[in-house]
Order: sequence, then C-alpha cells, then structure tokens
Amino acid sequence: MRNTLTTQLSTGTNSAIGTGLLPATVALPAAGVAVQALASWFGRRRSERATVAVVAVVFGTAALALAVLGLNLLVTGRDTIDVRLGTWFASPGHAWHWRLVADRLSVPFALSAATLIGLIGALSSRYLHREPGFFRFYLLLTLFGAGVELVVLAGSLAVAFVGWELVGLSSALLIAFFHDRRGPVRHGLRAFLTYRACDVGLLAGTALLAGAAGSVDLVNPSAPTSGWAGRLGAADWAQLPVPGSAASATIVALLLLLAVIGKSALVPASGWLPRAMEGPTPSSAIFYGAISVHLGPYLLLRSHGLLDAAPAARVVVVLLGLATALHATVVGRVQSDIKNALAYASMTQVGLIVAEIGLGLDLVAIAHILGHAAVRSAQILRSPSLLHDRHHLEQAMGRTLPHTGRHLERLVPGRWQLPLYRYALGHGYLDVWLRRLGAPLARLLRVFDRAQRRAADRIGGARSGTTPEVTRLSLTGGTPSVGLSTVHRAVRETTTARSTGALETASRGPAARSPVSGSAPIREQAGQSAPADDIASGGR
Amino acid sequence: MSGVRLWQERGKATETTTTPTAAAGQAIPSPARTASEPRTDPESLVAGILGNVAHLLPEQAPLSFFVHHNTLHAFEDLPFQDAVVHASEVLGTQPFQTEQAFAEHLRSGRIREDDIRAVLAPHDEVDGDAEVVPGGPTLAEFRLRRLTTLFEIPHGAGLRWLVDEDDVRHRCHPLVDDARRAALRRQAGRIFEPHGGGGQDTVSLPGGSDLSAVGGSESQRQAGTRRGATGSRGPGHASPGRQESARSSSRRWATRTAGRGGRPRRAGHGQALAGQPTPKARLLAEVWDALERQRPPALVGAAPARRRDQILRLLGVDTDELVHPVLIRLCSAFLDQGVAYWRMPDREDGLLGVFRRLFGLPTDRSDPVWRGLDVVLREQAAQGWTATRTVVWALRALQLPEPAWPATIQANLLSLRGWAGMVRQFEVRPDRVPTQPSPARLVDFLAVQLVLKVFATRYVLTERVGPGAEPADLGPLAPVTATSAATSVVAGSDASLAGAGPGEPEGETYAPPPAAVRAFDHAGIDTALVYEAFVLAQLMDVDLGLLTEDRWASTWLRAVADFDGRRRRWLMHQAYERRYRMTTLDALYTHSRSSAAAAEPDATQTEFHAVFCMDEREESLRRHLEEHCPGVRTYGAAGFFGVAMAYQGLDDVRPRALCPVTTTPRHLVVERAVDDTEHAVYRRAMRRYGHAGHLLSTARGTLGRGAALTAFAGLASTVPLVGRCLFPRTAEHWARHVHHKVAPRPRTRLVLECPDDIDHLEDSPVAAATSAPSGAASGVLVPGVGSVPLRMGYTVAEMTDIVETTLTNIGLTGTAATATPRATTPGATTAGRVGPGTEQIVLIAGHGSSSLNNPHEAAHDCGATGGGRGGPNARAFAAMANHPRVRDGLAQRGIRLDPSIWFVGAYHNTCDESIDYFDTDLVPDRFRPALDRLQEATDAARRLDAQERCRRFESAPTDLDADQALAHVQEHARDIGQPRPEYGHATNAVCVIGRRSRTRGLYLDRRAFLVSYDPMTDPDGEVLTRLLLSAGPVGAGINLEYYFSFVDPVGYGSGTKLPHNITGLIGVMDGHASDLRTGLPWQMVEIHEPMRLLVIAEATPELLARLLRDNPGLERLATGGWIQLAAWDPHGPDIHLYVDGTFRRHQPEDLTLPVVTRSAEHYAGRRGHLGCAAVLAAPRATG
Repeated sequence: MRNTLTTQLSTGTNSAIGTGLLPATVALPAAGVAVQALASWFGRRRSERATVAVVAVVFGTAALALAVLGLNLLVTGRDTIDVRLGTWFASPGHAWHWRLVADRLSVPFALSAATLIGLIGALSSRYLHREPGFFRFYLLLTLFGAGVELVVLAGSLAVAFVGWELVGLSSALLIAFFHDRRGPVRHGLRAFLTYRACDVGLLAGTALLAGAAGSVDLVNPSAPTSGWAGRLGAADWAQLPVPGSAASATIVALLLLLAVIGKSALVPASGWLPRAMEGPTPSSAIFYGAISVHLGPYLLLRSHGLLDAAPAARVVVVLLGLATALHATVVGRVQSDIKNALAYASMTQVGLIVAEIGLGLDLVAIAHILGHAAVRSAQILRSPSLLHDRHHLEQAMGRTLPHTGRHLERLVPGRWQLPLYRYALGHGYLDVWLRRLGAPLARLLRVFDRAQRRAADRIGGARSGTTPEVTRLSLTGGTPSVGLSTVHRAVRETTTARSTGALETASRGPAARSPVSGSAPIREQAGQSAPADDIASGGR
Repeated sequence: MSGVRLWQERGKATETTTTPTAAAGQAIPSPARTASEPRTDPESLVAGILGNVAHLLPEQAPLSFFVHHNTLHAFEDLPFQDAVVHASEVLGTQPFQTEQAFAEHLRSGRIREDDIRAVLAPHDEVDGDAEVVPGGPTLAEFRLRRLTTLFEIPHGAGLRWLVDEDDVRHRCHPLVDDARRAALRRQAGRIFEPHGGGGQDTVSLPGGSDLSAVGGSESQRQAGTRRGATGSRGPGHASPGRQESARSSSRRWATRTAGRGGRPRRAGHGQALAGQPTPKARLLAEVWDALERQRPPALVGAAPARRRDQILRLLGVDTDELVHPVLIRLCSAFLDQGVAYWRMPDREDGLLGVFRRLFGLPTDRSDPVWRGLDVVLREQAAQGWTATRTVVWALRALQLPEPAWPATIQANLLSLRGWAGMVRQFEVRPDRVPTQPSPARLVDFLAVQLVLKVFATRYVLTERVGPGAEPADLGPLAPVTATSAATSVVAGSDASLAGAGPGEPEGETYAPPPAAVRAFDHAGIDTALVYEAFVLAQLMDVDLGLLTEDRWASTWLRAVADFDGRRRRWLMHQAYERRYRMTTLDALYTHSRSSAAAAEPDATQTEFHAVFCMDEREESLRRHLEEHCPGVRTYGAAGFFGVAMAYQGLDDVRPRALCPVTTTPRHLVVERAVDDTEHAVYRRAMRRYGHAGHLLSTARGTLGRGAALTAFAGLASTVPLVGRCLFPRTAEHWARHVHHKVAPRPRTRLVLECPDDIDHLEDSPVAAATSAPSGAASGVLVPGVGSVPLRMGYTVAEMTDIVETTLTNIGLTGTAATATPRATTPGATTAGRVGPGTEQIVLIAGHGSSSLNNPHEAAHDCGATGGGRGGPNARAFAAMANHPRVRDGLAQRGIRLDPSIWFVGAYHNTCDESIDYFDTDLVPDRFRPALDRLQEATDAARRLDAQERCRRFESAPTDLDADQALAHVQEHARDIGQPRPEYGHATNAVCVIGRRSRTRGLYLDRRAFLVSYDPMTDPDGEVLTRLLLSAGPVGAGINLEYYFSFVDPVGYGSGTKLPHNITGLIGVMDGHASDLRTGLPWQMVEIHEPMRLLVIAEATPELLARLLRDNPGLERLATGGWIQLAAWDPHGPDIHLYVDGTFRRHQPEDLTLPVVTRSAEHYAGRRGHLGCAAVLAAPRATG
C-alpha cells in the first residue's frame, strides 16, 4: 500500500468498511504467504500448530471480512464496491490499475473460496501431521488462496491474470507434492504445461481487449439485459469491457475461452484433471473439486457482455461445455478407482456449468458452482473412507448394492457398447490427439532446446551429455532417430564395457544415456508408486 | 541370429497378408505363421516358469479381508537372514534398517556397545585374534570399530567431486582425532624424513582421553597403546621394496601437483605450505594410490532381464510407461468390485478375453503405439489361442531365447507386482473376493502384459531407431534362470548396501539421476570401496606406511570389502534386537523372582474374570483393569475364542468367516431380532436411509442427477463439511444420534444351537427351515466364507468341545471352574472352589476397530478372526458357556462350571475405546451387582487405556487426563482428516505364553502378546503345542509384516497414506494410477521398532525342544530365526533362549526394575518406547 487509496464507489458515499475490508481480503492471504515464506527462508524449527494458526486466522478473517462486505452490499443496496489501490503501470493512453471489485458475483465466490480453504486448512493440520512436506503444503495452500482471492476480486483483467498465474503455479506444485516419485512430478508438469499453453489465451485476450476496448478494467453493465437471457441470468455485475467491433469481441472471447479450457479442464485439454489427483487428498479436494476448476466459469461470468457481443463465441462455449460434460460422464462411468471417478464427475459438472453460462443462465450457473464446490470437496475428502461407507450402505440397503449402469446398457445398442466402453477406458483418446497436435510444436521446441544446449556447452565448455535432454518430448515429437548402426555400436560397447568393467568409457555417446542397471526396473517401479525412504527417515 | 531372420520372414508375411499393419512399416508377426512352430514344448515351459514365479508376488488379499501375514512368506523356507537378503536382491528392497538408522540408535543408546560385542562374539571366536595387516588391528577390533563408526561414503558425482576437486586424498577425515593425527604425522615423518625431524608435534600417542571421546571403546585404547609399541619399529620395518614404491609414488605425486600449478593447499592439520605438502599429506596420497591400484575389478554391470531394460539403457525410453497405464486401467476395471458405475462388459471371458475384445475392435486405431494390435488380437481370438500360447508368441516376437524366459517373465511380473499379485489372489483365493468373483488368471495377465510389450517395443524401436530395427538388435539378454535372476539385481542393491552412507538408498532408488551420474555410479562402486578403506585406514590403528605397499593395501581392501554394508547391518540388527531382548528378559526374570506370589488374587477374592484377545493392544487394558480392580483375573486367548464360524449379523448382507485364515468355517451363526415388528420398523428405516445414500452415491458421476444434486442441494452439504472439518467428534456424534433415533436397533439373539441329531449334510431340512441365506448352505462359493458347505449353528456336543478347549487353553478351568478329581493338580480343586453367594462374571471380550479415512481399516481388526471383528465370537462363546446343557456336558468331562458363574460377551473397539456388552438382558438378576461392578471397572480401565494410547499420538498433549484422552481417541476414530486412527500393532515385540500371574504387575508398554497358558495342567505339552501352533504363526505374521513395512516402506509397505486412492474396493494406488500398493502404510508403522518377535513360553527347555522336534512348522520358524524363542521355567525365574538349535540360559545383566504404584506414573508425560516397570497394583479398596 505504497500509494494512497483512491476509492470510487459506484453508488452512494464512500464507505470505510468497503475500502478497508476489500483490500484486506487479498492482502491477508498475501501476508500469510509472506510470513510462511520468511519462516521457511530462515529455516528455524517450526511448529505445525503455529503454521495452521496463521492459515486459519488468515482465511477466517478473510471470510469474515467478505461476509461483512456482502452484508454491506445487501444493506446499502449498492451494486459494487470498487477500490483502486494505485496504478500498476501506465503508458500514454493506457493505465493499468491495481483495482479490486466486490459485487454480487465476486463476494459469494470469494466468501465460498475463503471458507473452503480455511476448512481445508483446519482439516489438513490433522491430515498432514508429521508429513515431511507439511510446511510446503501450507505455503502453497496460502499462495493458492491469495491467487484465488485476487482472481475473484480483481477489478481488471490484468489483475486477474496475476492471480490466475498464482493459482496455476501453486496447483502444479501441489500436484507434484510427492516429488520423490515420478508420477506426481510428471503429472504436475502436465498440468503446468496445459496451464501455460492455455494461459496464452488470457494474456493475449487481455492485450487485445486493452487495444480494442481501450481498457481492461471491469465496467458496470450498461443496462439491464433484456430478452430470455436477461430473465434467467440477470447479470448485473461488473463486466469486462466490450470492444466495438463484433469481430474483435469474438476473438477476445475465444482467447479467454482458451484460458478457460485449460483451467477448467474442458475438452480437449481435460486429460490433466484426473492426473492431478496425485497430491494429498485435501489438496485434491480444494483444487479439483472446489475452487480451481471453477475459475474458468467465473471468468466467463465476468465476460457476459462480451459473449453477448459475440454470439459465435457463445455457441462455441455451449458446445464445448456440452462436449465436456458428455465426454466426462461417459469416461467417468467406467473409472474403477474413486479419485478418477470423482475427477470425471467434477469435469462433468463443470462442463454443464460452462454450457449454462453459454446459454446465458448465469444465476443457475452460480448456484450450480457454489453447490458443486461444496459437494465435490466433501466427496473427495470422504473418498478414503469409501470401503467403510460402502459397507454401511450395503448394510442399510440390506442387500448387495444394485448393479448400476443397467439403463446405459439398455440405452446403447449392443454393438456400440464395446466401442463406447473402449472409448471410455481409453479416456476418449484425447491424449493421443493432443499428442499428435503437440508433436510439431514439440519438435520446434526441441530444436530450440538443442541449440540452447549446444550454446551452453560451447560457453561453459562442458562435456557433451552433461545437460540432460528433454527425453519425454523426444518420443512424442518424433525426434531424429538414433540409427541402427549406432545401436549396434552401443550394444557392443556396453557388452564389452560390462565384461571389462570399464563402464566409464561408455559414459559418452548415446549408449550410456541411461545405463540403468537391471535392478532399476523393479526398484524404480516401486519408486514410481511409492513414497520415499526419506519419509521413513524423517519419521524416525 | 535365427531370431532376426525369423522376425524378418514374419514381417514379410505380414506385409502380404495384413496390409494395415505393414502400412507404417511396423512388421508385426502374424499369428498364423508362428502357429506352426512349436518344437519342444514351450507352453508347458511357460506354465512351469509361471508356477515358480507366482509365489514371489505379494499375497495380500483385497482390503476388506486384510490379514497380517509374513510379507516374505515365499522365502520362509530359508533362514531369516538369507531370506531377507535374497528377497532384497530379487525384489530390490531393503533387508534391514539403514546403517544411518543404526548409527542413530547407537547414539541414542538404543543399541549399546555391549550388544555389539555380544553379537560379534561368535564371529570373533573364529578368527577374531588375527591381525588384518601386520601390526594393525585384529579382526575383532576392526569389526567393533567399524560397527561403532559410521561415516558417509559418497557415491557417484559426489565421490568424483571429492576425489577430483577436493583434497580428500591428502587430508585427514574429520572423524580422525588429534592423537591419531599426531601418530600419522609421526609415521609420515619416519618415511619421508628419515632424519626424524618430520613430525610437527610430538604428542605422545596413548592419549587415552582423546580417543575415548571419539571412538570411546576400551579395546581401541588398548589397541592404541599397542600401536604405540609396534609403531616404534617403523624405519627398521621398511623394506627396500617399500622404499622404492614410496619413492616412485612420491614422484608421481610431485608431477601431479606440478601439473596443477602447485597452488597452496590445505594439508594436514591446518598447516599449509605453499606448493609443498606435508609428509602426512604425502603419506595419505600414497595410501590412496596404493588402494586405488589394488581395487578389485568393478562389479559386473547388471545384465538386463527384459527388452525394456535394454531400451531404457540405450534409448532412454521406458516402455513400461507405455504399457503400464493401459494394463493398470484394464486390471482395475476387470477386478473392480463396484466402484465403477458401468461394469466392464464380458468379464466372464477372463482378462485376456476382455482385452482381446476391447483392444481388438476395428475402431481402435487412434493410438500409434498400438497400431496393428487390433489385427493381431482378432486373429488370435479367431484361432482360439490360449493364454500360454499367446505368451509364447509374445516372447518369440520379442526375440527372446528360451533360456532367457524365466528371468524375463519374472521381471515382467514383478515390474507391476501389486496388480499381478491381486490377479493371482483372485485366482487362488476366490473366497476372499469381496462381492464379484472375476475369472482372473495370472497367465492372462502375463499374456496381456507381454502382448502390449511387443507393440510398445516395436513402436519405440521404429520411432527412435528406424523402421528396420528389431528387438534382437538390442543385444542378447543374459540367459539366467528365474532364481538366479536375482544376480541381475545384485549390482544395484550392492551399491546401496556397500555405500550404506546416509541417504544412499534414496539416491539409488528414486527418479534415476541423469545418465552421466549413473554411468559413473557403476564404475564408482569400487572407488567407493577405496574411499571407505582409505578413511578406515586413517581411523584405525594401522601403519599407513604399510598400506602403501600393494600387498597390504590389497589385504586391507579385502578386509574392508568383506565386512560390507549388508553384513554390518545384519550384525547391527542383531544388536538392536538384543538390547530389547535383554531388557525384557531381565525384567521378566526380576519380576518373577520378586512378586510372583502376590500378584494374582486368591480364588476366593476373585471378583470376576476377564478374557481378552491375546492381542498386544489389550495388554494395557488388562493391566489397567487389574490395577483398578485388584480382584480381577485376566486371560488372553486367540480372539475367536475357539468359535470358528461364518457369521451373518442383523445388518449383514452375506456371511463372512470369523476364524483364523487357515481354518474354513463349517458353521453359520446368524443374528436374529427378538421382536419381528421392531425389526421391521428398523429395516424400513434403514432401507430408506440406504436408498437415499445409494442415490447420492450413484449420482456422483451422472450428468442429470449429478447436476440436480449439486445445483440444488449442494450448499446444504456445507453443513456436514464444516462439522467434519472443524468438530469431527461432535459431528459424528450427532450423525449417530440421529441415526439411532430414526432407526433404533432391535434387540437380537444369535441363532446358535441346532438339534443334536443333525448329520453333517448341507441340505438338511433344518438349514433350509432356518432360512439360511441362499447359497450359504448349498456349497456354492460365498464371498468371504468359501465354498465349504455351511450348517446352521452348533450341536451341544460341538459347543461343549469349544468351551472346553478354550477354557483349558487359557487355564481358566483351574480357577473359575471347580476342577473335579480328574484335574491333575489337587491344589486347584480347593482353590478353585468359589464360595456360595459370590456371583462371578466371566467377561469374554472380542475386539475390532472402526475408523474413517482408513482404507486399511480391516488391518486394525482382530487377526485371529481373519481380519474380522471378534465381538460375535465372544458373544457366541458366552452364550455357549451359559448354556445349561453345555455345562452339563462339561461337568461330564470333568469341568464343572459353578452356577454362580455367568459369562458375558463384549466387544472392545480398540480405536475409540468403546466396549459394548452383549445379551445383558439375559443376565439373571442375582448377577446384576457383579455386572455393574464389572462395567464400572472396565469403564475406568478403558479410559486409562485411552490415556496410555494417547501418549503415542503426537497430536495429543502429554498431560491429558483420562476423560480427555477418551475424547481424543474417539476423535481419532471419527475424523475424516485423521490418517492415524490408531497405531494398531505397531511396536509389538514380544509374546508371552504363560500364566498371567507371572506377568501381572509388569508394565509391558503394549508391546506384548499375552497368551494365557497354565503349564501346571499341561505336563505333556499338548496344550502348549496347540497354542504355539496358533499364536506363533499369527504373532510372527503380524510382527513380520510390520517389520518389512517399516524397514522398506517403499518396497514392502504402501508408503504414505496421503495420496492413496482406493481402486476397485480391493486395494489402494498412489494417486492417479500406480501399481497396487501392498503392505502397511507408513502412518501405521511409523513408531514401530523392527525386530523379530520374541516368543517366551512358560515351559521347560526340554519340553520345548521336544515340541520343536515334533512340529516341523514351528521348528522352521524358530530355527530359521523368523521368531526368537525362549523357554521360561515354570518353577523358577530362569529363562533359556533358543540359539542355534539349543537352549542357552539367559544371563541377566541388570536386575533393577523401576517400581511405580500405577502404570500412569510410569508413562505420564513420556512419548517414546518405555522399558518395563513393576506396577504395584492399587489397593484393593478402590476396586
């Protein structure tokens, strides 16, 4: 708060409550992050209790502040509380402000997010007790909270972008929470990659919007919307500015939609969501059940006016939403493990929500989002008790649980059942198609990578092979092949090396790129699906 | 070579016949061609290999039937030490705790130097006096010093850096103390400066205080003194050859330093001479060079067992990453017991059948990795290939010669061993499948895996090498047999064992480091040995001058290599066990000397008896009960109390076995409501509740219902969410309260008795009339029970047998029951007589555990009931023992149960410490006061038990009072965010089979299985045999499962619980998709001390020795070292430990035992493991 507060309230007089509380809801989590980060930096012996207390106080207070804000809005009948905290940067003709907005849309969202994060924070103090990554978890959780509050309360698309990135970052880091195994790290990277690719849309959309509409600050809706959309979806909250021409409106809307696809795991980029179920259960609940996946619909709700101006984009939104819902419900029905099943269930509802927004049913969508967040996080938190619950359910029913999915078997014609099941079991082949689409891009990246490595080696004088290659991309990207003769030579080298015992010579060339011993497959496999020994030693 | 040609031929054939496969240049052999090739009989070969390999897979049942068993059951024929080492090679796991952990134990006093000396003693007797090198330490000193000194041996890049960049070769290791440094300086001075002016200081060597500060050992000080003596012969000892080598090496050294520009280097003890190293530094460098020259050849690089290993090595691509996700998804869906909304169609065809159908669909073309798979699968299906034939085809397609098959099959199965093991469990134990038996077969699994492997291999080769590449181009696979396939793993584990430095195994295990590092790592194994020998030479009293000679350097290296990490860990493990054993045996010895007579109340004073499970978790409850109410006698028995039954409770939809896993029940016991209308009301309410719950749970993934639920009722779920997160105990309390209000549970009885004249026919009219659940009586396989026909209830004779056996086992007949003249001990006849008017209750308490957030819930239940809850067994036993005709029958057999005795069954929930009593409405009025007293006493005891348990929870303050503690454990049981509902069997360490009077008043810290047994009534050991045969394997199974899950939470255990993901209701995966994790989660075992169970039986050594001879199973356990066995003299305090086939008298070393009035005084405010203590029971007045 270096600058003086410049507050503008849309209606009524300046309210001290609003101007004070609104920035506090964002500043508190940020302060929480700072406190924890400092504590980690100085690395003293830290108490779990103190950390939890910090997080609980931060989100408890934030929730309280938001509740008061909401009451304030209700009581005074104002539409918006709008706080300008200063200018981020300005150029002639453009000024980018730090600006927060509390209105009928953002307050319920922010309140629900703060409450859920606070609850999860309280629960995790027991859940992650004695876990080596305890403090990291809480740091990331608070960072996530700060990001979410920033996205939700942002008064400008640029500010929202900052929060959006924080959410993505903390999300990917929490997926990779158990970073001593490969799976979590790879899936964390996968999510991160998806986010990065799709966030291009948000960034470009912001820039385009700034050019086309002159500003990216939220504006109050021009007039009560009319027609069928107006009746069911009374979107009387601050909106993104609408560019003059329909073409640029459509482009901006589609770019924003790209960001939404990534964040909310819509088709075709939905593969990361089930894979994100790698972190501790509470983080899965809060991110992929409750909050993170709903930020996409939130962004769409903010761009109601924009979508109105771009009917084509609206159609795309509806289609994408429905496609996602359909895809996810089919795939989700064959998932035989609880977390994947819940991930697809989540995806189904998010798809529906997006479709509702596309249809203009904004109020329905809001209720759907809030309800879904509560239900899904409760379900994910309950998922480790599945055996217990199933047993009790069976006892209550007094019989073996009825066979579900029968109507599906009735509905789908016999010869389509197997293909449909296969489709679902293969997660809809989406990954395959994405890989195909991504291959050229990956090839391009590899070229850069190689060039960079060569340059680095030349500068640093390092021996070749010291900089690890991007092996993962190499396969998908159809890298230049090794060549049969090389393989033969390598085989010869390794066999002779093995017999003479001079493996060091083989450390150059492709032969020894990964000379994992025979023990590695077994051990590594165990490692892939296992926590670390250092958890063991940490606990001792 | 022929393999290559074959492949090419097949490739051509495919091109002509099946165009789609050939299109991409991916020549996939056509099944039709290979069909006409079998020469020997490869299919039976495969079957044989599979039979050999299958037992290596984990034997864990689906989670709801979790029973503790020895994780290394497959290796039980070997002695423990060999088994763990062999398994660690085959499975790539840890055999013992890490050396770092042992060093920590040494530091904390958990292991003492005495223990190390004691475990070394047998070795030292053999060759302990031999000197390692002339004038150097003896082998005994060497071993002792090595075990008590841990230093980090870096590996890979770390080692390289140390050697190349750091001055490690010229500088003393930081562990070297000042006196030794001075000695080294003198040695160096003698060699390099013959005129004697070299040593910078002249500290006299035997600086005892310095030495003891670091090494601390007496022997070392002695050695130091001796070294001072022998060291004096220094110059004279130097042979011409040695002088020569010293000169040459110093020349080498000089050139090297010159090459480096002679920059100033810190040498020796902080004395830096620009460009000129101190003599000591020169000496060290020469020693290093000598050792390096003499290092043994590098360990042979591991021979790959699979094509996947070769591809990974050569191309850096892991084909497992292509195959496993598909395989995991397929297995999970195939074995699913009801998680998926839409079940896998055509499951009846078996795994391979389903695979062929699903992946053989013509629409299945999208993934380039599996291109051509559909054609092959369709052809195989059309020709009706068996799974074995498919396996053979796949092995040939991978161009593997037959000698390599065993290794490759084993490696493939073990690469996804959790799932493979579960498939096998479905195959061999269909009775333990929760609801829907699937026709799973391991060979199907292997066939699917190998077929996928073929295509993944082809794909990677084509992509990375070129269209012409064949699997055979990857080089030959080592022709190893399945059993010696272990050798392929040795290298890796050796590296971690030999290193054994802190953090070493981790570095080896997880995400493999970049290629360069690993390459060095293998070459670096022996460099690590050089380093180790080098540091040891500095630490131990050896003449370094001697070690510059190749001959002695080589000897020294050999000595160091011989005493490798694995051997050290095994010795340290023995020392670790010994410490606990000594403490416990000493305590038992002392206790039985001092207080045996006074502990148990006289029979006349006995207020009531309480029989619990032998479980070590009941030890504290029993102790508190005895402390609180001195008039109680407690007993321990296997928690099914002899009632081996299939039980179906009022709510259960199908019966399940409640008996040890080794037994198959033949009797069905059903719980019935007393009042039908009450029951109907209850049922209706429950069904409503169930329907609502089912609706909600199925609405999870659906489109419309899910939307309706979330959009309109979603916010309502915030209320329970808040409750569950913030006030878990209250929330659960209210949930239960509402449930009981809505659906009050009716009074029930067990249907226990069947007419005497029934013959053992399954389709008897009685069984039909009593409406046994369909299938239960007809010999059809019932999940959870088995396929043996069940009969309703027991005849009176059978009940009498059960009651008699159990009462005899625990020795209750001698006290509670009035022994008739048949009883052998005349004392019991009088002492056991209960005065008229003193009504006694015998409490029979089974146990179980219920918790949330715990997929391994069943692992906390009673092992003796096969992972079920023992309440019904206790209830049934009490009802049997109260049965008038049973009592008549008993009287005829010589056991007269007095009418003033009443049995009450109860159920102890070890998680939330609740105790439920059964059939209390049947208790006659005259027993009411006794029952009330008993309930009051147990109520107090369970609170204290909760308090004692809470000291282990770090989340609980150490100063909780008993009521707060009870609340705390209740919260643990009912919290969806609590990964540690209870610590279960963790810390179990000892099993005492004997009279409670001898252990009564001894604080055993919840670590002892207590089996009641009266040696006085069992002269020929018949009862003891029975007890040992049941308690031995069960206790050992529990103990060993905890051992392995603790020692290697990655390889044997299932790791941390936090990312666990229940799959198919049968097991857990880590996160999104992983191998099925078997073993125990870390949160269950984290406070465990991995030791083998110490079984102490109250018997003479002679009797026990005879029993061992007569029972090979027991003998294998004891002689193989899977348990430690001791005989406790029934007539005196002496204890004999079974070592190497003989019983040796335990020599107590510490006869003091802390004395406290109540246990609470002993444990209050303390968290860690506690030693034994004598507890003087509270005065009788409080009872």
